[in-house]
Amino acid sequence: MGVPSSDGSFTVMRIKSPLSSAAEVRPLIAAGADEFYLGYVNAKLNGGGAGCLMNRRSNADANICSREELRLTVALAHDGGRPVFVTFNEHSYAESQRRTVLYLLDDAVAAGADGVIVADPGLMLLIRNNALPLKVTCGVGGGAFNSAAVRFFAALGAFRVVLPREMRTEEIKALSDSERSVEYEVLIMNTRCHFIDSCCNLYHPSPSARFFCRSISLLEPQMPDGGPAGSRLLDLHLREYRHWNKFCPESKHAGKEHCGVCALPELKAAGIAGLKIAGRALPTEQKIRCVTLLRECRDMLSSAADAADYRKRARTRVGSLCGQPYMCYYPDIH
Amino acid sequence: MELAFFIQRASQLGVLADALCGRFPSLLGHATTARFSGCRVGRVYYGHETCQHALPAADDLMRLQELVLRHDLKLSFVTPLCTDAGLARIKDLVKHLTEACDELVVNDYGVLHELANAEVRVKMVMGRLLARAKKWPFGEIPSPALDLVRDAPYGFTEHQELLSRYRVTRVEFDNRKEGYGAGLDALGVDKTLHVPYVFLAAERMCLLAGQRCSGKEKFGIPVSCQHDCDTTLLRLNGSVFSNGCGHYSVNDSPLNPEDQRFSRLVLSLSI
Repeated sequence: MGVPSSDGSFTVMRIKSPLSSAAEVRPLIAAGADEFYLGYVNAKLNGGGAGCLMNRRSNADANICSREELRLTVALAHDGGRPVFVTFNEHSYAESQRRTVLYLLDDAVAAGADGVIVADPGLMLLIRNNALPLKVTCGVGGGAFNSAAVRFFAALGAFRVVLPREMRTEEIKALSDSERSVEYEVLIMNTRCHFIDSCCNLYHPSPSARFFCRSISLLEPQMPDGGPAGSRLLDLHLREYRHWNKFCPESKHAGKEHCGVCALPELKAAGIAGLKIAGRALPTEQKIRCVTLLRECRDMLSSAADAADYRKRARTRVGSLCGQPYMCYYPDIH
Repeated sequence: MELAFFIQRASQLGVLADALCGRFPSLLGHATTARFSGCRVGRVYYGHETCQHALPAADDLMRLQELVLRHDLKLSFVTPLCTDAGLARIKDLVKHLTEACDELVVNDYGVLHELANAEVRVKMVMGRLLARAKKWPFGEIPSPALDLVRDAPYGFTEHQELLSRYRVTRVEFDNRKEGYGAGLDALGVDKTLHVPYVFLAAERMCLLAGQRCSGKEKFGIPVSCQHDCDTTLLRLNGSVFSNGCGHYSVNDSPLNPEDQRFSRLVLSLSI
């Protein structure tokens, strides 16, 4: 665990970048990535099912798909002094997946991966009971909204907790101040899902256009007894919602991504150790753009006169990609 | 099989009173209400699953417990996922639980950790939000994913160790159309099935609370709300119901309620 400074904050919030191939390691290190996370599936292990529901993005384009590439990827990251975390972040696994999961975990250990990202308490216990030499991060799918939940996951071996996207920055600070047994990480860019990760039970069929969260466009207010309801206020709100939700056909923000760089001063003050960029399946160029932007904004923190000055400069840096206020990760800061 | 009625908010007390007299909300389908008509209901579920702003006032909780006692029923107090502020409120409400309440239904690992370790008299029940497994009410989940999904909630046997450690006596499930595999048999605790609303997803950016906010708060996390969910529901794409922050599909299929592994059936009178 890193050591916070006297004001409780970590000296430098580490940028955690997604990876989906060994070829991405060096350019992302050059862009400013401090840590990596990746998905690993291996269809050779146990027939076609081995790649099925092993993590929240089991598609090949979001994963490293062979033992050899996993080893190479970790080796390249370690050459650059960057740790690598492998994601096993399904909310729950069937007992029939145990053997495959253990094979994949063993491969991660053999490749020298530093840790895993896990959301299922049962899997955390499995890792601990098997004494696997992997540091466990409780993923965003754990749903740790409160300090007692953090203690729950810490008791299962988590050294770090990724906080849910749906927290106000003052809630993040209050939680971080009250429970210091773990490090905290927050999501900062891309894919600010409509639903709470830990509370989204929806199957995500291929192609992604069929995701329920991408098809919410018709919202009809009605009375609890089934009759029509609504008001002009609600109608306007729902209309605006369709712009807020970039996946609705009416949205003007479909080409933009969610971003939380404006909140860096508050997140640093809250003692956040890690800034996670979502999007393992993103094209390499987009990953590099995200890491570069985040690194530059983080660097601005030290030279900014205050939070307002920082935000002004950060927004200038983000430029036309900013979709405020609809695309803010932490809209309470906007 | 034990039968129970479920209401989430104090504003639904009248709906509960009607249901106890055999009058059901019109939004519930005939197939669902027919199963409950004339049956002896032994229990009431009360409390919100997804929103800490909808936690009941202590007075409402007391009023509900009096009603439960009057009807010779038992109460299961349902708690939502929550921040530290919500957890503090839940801990305060637990102090107001009387002999009418013998179960605490938790939908947040923090609530479980805090209250299972505390000296509370009530039994701990894992709410359906913690039975985390996929659902797809809009089509068929293909093989081999379907078999995994059917066995996923509490799939690894390590969950049995967790349930035991936290004194959990019952786990709750949705009447999802995918059903449940043999993995459920190994759990070793009582099991509940919720009908007809199937929990799909939750959010904290409430679609109803946000209408009264402005600017940056409109699609943020509300710090308070005026409980518009008492008077308005949202219907999404025709088949999903939302109370602003909890989203549910409907499954009237009798398939899972006939599954003998479930010892309790809970009918949500509304969402």
